[in-house]
Amino acid sequence: MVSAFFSVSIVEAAPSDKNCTSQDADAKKYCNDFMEKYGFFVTNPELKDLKSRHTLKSIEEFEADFWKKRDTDPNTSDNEFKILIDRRLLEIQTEILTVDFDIPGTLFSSTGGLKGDMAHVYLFYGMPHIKRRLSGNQYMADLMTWYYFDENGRVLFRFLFINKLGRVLLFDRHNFSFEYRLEALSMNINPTVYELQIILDYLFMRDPENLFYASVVEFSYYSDMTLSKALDPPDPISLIAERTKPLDFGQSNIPKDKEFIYGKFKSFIGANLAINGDKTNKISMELMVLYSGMDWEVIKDRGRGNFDLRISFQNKVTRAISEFEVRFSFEIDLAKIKANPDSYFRIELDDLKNYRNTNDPENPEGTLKDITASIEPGDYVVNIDLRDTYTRKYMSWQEHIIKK
Amino acid sequence: MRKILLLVILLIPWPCRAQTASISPPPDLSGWREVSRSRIEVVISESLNIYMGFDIEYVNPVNPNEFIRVITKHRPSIIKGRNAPNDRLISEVVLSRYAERDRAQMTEELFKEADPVICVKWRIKKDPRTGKEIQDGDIETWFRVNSGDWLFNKNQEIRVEFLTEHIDGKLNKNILLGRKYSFAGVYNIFKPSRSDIMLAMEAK
Repeated sequence: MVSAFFSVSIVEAAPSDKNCTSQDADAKKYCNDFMEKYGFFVTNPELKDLKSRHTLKSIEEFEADFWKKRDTDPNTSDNEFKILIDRRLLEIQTEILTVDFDIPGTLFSSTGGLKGDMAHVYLFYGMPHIKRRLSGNQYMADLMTWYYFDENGRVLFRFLFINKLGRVLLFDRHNFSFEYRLEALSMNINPTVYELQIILDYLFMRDPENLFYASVVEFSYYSDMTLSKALDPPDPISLIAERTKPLDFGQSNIPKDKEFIYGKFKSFIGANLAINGDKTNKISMELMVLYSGMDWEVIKDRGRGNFDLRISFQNKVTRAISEFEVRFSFEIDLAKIKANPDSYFRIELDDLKNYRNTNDPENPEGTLKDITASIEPGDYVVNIDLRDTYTRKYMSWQEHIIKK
Repeated sequence: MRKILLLVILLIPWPCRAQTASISPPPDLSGWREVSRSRIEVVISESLNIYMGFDIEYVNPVNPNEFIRVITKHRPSIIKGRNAPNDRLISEVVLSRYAERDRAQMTEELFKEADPVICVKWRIKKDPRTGKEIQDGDIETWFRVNSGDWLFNKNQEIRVEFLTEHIDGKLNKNILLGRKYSFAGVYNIFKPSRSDIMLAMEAK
C-alpha cells in the first residue's frame, strides 16, 4: 500500500522562529546574532527567559550564564564547551566538508546554512565518524549518511540526508512502515510498489556496506535513542551535575529566621560528662557545659540551647542494648551567658524523657533514670552523643560502668 | 518522636579539672608549610562515606627537619552519592569533573570549619652511622580536652581505637562508625550522628 504523506522533519522550531526583543535595536541585533549561531542549544525555559530580556546588558548576562552552565570543565578558567562550539561554527562557516575526502563538495550553505539540519547535527556532534554519499537516479534521491559511534563502538546515530532537487531533508520516518520509509527516498511523490522495489534493489547494488539501508531501517543501535532526542537542545551539564550531586546528610540546618550567638569552637560542644553512682547503685548522669562552648539561639533577652542527646548502654557480656534518645531545649538569660563565657552550667539528665522507640511526642517511654534503674547488673559500655540540633556541632563520650 | 522540653538549669560554675600532664597551648603554625593533607573518613559502602576531619602534616620552613602533624575535627559530613542519569548523551567524564569541583569545594569548606584537636611535633636527624633518618629529641604532643584547653606531654603515645555502633533498619548490624583518640587519660571521639546515618541509608 503506498501512502500519500509528505516527509516532515521533526526538529525544534527553527532559530528564526525564536523572536528576540524588538524594544531595543542593539539588544535585538545581539540576540538575533546569538540565536543564529547558538539557537539549537537554547532550551525552552531559556528561550522564554531570553525573550523577556529587552536590554543589551541583560542579554549579555543571559549569554554569560548560558555558557557557564554548559562549561564541560569547571576546574579550568576556559569554557571548553564554548571553544568547541565556536570551532564547529567556524568549520561550518568555512565549509569544511567541501574538501572532505568522503563527501567532497558538500556545502552547509546549500542546506540551510547555520539554520539547516546538517548544521544542527554538526554543531551537536561534530565531524561524523563515517560519512558517505550515494548518488540517486530517476527513482531515488541523492543520499548522504552520517554515522556517530559511542565509546563501546556501537552506532549511536545514523543521520540520513535526502536531497531532492536541491532541497535537503533529514530522514525521520524510523517509526513508520518500511514502505513509507522508502517513499521518503523516492523522487516521486506517490511512488508505485515497483518504483519502491527499484529503490531497494538500487540500494543493495550501490551500497555494499549497507550503510544507507541501515540508516533507513534503524536510527540507533539503542532502541531508546530517537532522532528527536538526539536533536533536542541538551540540558546544560551543570544542571545535570547539580541533580546528581552527592547529598550531605550531616549538614547544619540553621533556619534563616533565627538569630544565633555561636560558640567559640567550630565543630564541637565544650562540655564534660559526669556519671555518678551511689550506695544504692543508682546511676545518675549530668553534663557540665561551657557557656562559650555551645551555640545559643537568641530569643529576645534569653539564649536557648537546642540539643539532640542519645545514650546507649550495652552489656559487655550479653551484648544487650538499652537506648535513650531525646531532643531538648533550655533557656538562660543572655546577660548571664555573656558575663560567664568561661564558666560551666550543669544539665541534669536523669529526668529527661525517652523518645527512642516512640513517634508519639505525648507518650515518651519513661526517663533516663528508668533505663539506668532497669538495666541488669553487669559491665556496660555507655555511648553518649550530644549534638546541637541546628548547627550539628557535637561531643561524644564512651564510658565503662559497672552496675552492681 | 522527640519533644522539645524547657529545663531549669542550675548555674553552677564548674572548674577545669587538672590532668596529669600540663595545660599548654600548641605552637603557632603561621608560616609552616603544608606537606600533606588527608581526610579522616569511614567508608560505609560504595555510595556512603563519612568525613570527620583532616590529618595534616606541616614542615617548618626555617628548619626542614621539624614537623608538626595536626588532626582537625569538623562536623561529620555524611556523603551519599547519587547515580548518574542513565543517558547515553551525557558524558560521564564531564560529570566527573563537576563531581571533582564539588568535592574540592566541600573539602575546602569543611577544612575552614574544622578545629585542631591533636598536634604532634617532632624532629628528625641523620644517623651518622647509617645515614638514615632518626628521631631527634622528644615527641611533643598537645591534645585538646572537652573544655577546649590543650593538654601537653612529651613522648606519650596517642592511642587510636575504631568505634562501632549498631545500626537498625536495612543493615541491622554493628558497623565501623568513628574513631577514638586517647591520650594521658582523656579522649576525643570523632563520630557521626546515628540518626543522620539512618537518614542517609534510607534516602533514595
